[in-house]
Amino acid sequence: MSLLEISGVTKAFGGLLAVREVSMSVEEGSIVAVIGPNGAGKTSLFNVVTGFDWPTSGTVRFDGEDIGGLEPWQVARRGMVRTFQTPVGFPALTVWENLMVAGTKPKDESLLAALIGSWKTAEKAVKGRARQLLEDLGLWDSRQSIISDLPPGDVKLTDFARQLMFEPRMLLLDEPASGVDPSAIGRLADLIRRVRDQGVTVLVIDHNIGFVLDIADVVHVMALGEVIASGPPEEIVHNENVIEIYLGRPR
Amino acid sequence: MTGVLLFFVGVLTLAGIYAILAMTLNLEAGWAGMWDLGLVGFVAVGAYTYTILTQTKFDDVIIHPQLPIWVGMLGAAAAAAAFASVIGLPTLRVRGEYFLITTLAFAEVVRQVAVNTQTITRGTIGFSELSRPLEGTFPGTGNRIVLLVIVWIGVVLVYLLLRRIAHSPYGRLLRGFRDNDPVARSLGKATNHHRLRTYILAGALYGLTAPMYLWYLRSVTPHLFAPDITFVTWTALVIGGIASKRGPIIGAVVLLVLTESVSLIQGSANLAVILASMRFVVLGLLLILIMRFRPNGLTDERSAFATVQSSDSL
Repeated sequence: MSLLEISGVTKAFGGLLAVREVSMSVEEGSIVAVIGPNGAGKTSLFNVVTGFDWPTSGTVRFDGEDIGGLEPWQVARRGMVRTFQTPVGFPALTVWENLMVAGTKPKDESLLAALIGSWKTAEKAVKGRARQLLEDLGLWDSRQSIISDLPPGDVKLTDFARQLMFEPRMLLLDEPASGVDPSAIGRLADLIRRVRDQGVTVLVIDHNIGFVLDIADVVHVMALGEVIASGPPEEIVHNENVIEIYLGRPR
Repeated sequence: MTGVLLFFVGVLTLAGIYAILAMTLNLEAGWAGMWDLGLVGFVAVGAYTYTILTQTKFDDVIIHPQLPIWVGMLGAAAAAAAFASVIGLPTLRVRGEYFLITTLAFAEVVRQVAVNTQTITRGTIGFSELSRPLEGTFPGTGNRIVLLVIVWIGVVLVYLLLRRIAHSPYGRLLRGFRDNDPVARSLGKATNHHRLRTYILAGALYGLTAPMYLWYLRSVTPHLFAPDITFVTWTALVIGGIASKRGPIIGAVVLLVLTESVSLIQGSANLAVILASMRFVVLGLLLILIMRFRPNGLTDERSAFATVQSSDSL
């Protein structure tokens, strides 16, 4: 059964249809990509799926449950976590604290827990996971840096690490490759594959076709709010509609 | 000489009261990012609740239960917290400058209600000759020192409470979503619930501070609750360092000692009038100097949390 099921989703901003009747499903354990030029409606679709915006019509199901109308934090608690195009995170906190915030469960971060000190027991396990993740990503030495002091590449990695600390079932990546040094894109792709191998389903939006075709099992191409082609990467590269959008129609 | 000494006992008492207000504002605005311009409203609710519950001198109001002081203090905190929870629901729906305006407006509403409900608040006449705690045991001058001690015990207790919050996951979360609410929500954090709880806690602390202010002044009238208290508290916080830990206390002491010391200059009645307005000149000057030379305040968030941050991740 597919983990995420988007059916007939439309998002209108006044008279502008940002997303038109989009349907797609994401199988558990796969990497699915959505590509398309600027203004194709990719981010609008992400917003609707993650509760940051409401669909004008259509339904979004996660693990069989209709999640339309839920708040973003409610969507996240069901296991679906997204990233943002600008990966600033919590800029006044250190890399370490960014991960700790993400890893802490609701009952340990309440005002009551702060007053009675009940958070201390769970904190140890969260610290262990944060350490593991930082060492894996080569961020351990930067752990005490405040985000706003980090170089952009490390900010991006921290963004990734923070959202992973939440232990999502599904991760939605909004342009993970943008602003990443071309030489580091291969490492980013490996990282995403590793995350998938650990059981996290991934939906990724990006402009970088090479990167997307490299990692995705299934690619959906959007243009002007509609899905114009879907299929495995090797099929997509030969699809006429896609070639037309990206390269222009041969005369 | 004892005159000067007593003068400073008074100034430090007032500084302690503002230190508590500024620490509370720091929780609310510095850490949780809610820029409250209506904190005086909570102080007013606390002040009137305390006075109505405990005063024994006036029986021309419809409620005068003459309860003990500690009941009045709890009542003040509870009423201000309740008020925060009621106005929090609409005000927390808006952010930034809209939140500023809404909170400013609510504080003004409280003041106007106090003016216009004569049968409960005695309107613009208000209440005077309010009694102080331990007045029987320590009469006269001694009582002023008792008040100073009580207020500074309050400062220490509130400081310890807020430090406990700052070092907890709750405090960490507040300082996180203050700068990036969407990321916090994408991580399953119900940020508005946390805001409302913080707002209510801040309301309770403002309310609890109100009785101390009344012991200092011995009277309560609506004009006390003009926006001045809010702005002095904000200035103390900005001078001390917003989002730091000790900054609000340092800022309140520096600000109050400098502005109140203007009154030490002796002279004619005319001079006294000029000196009274000099307080705000001193306040403005101090603010300009801080903005120019220490824009983050005398202490800042980075240094305040540096030790926690380095010991935490090892």
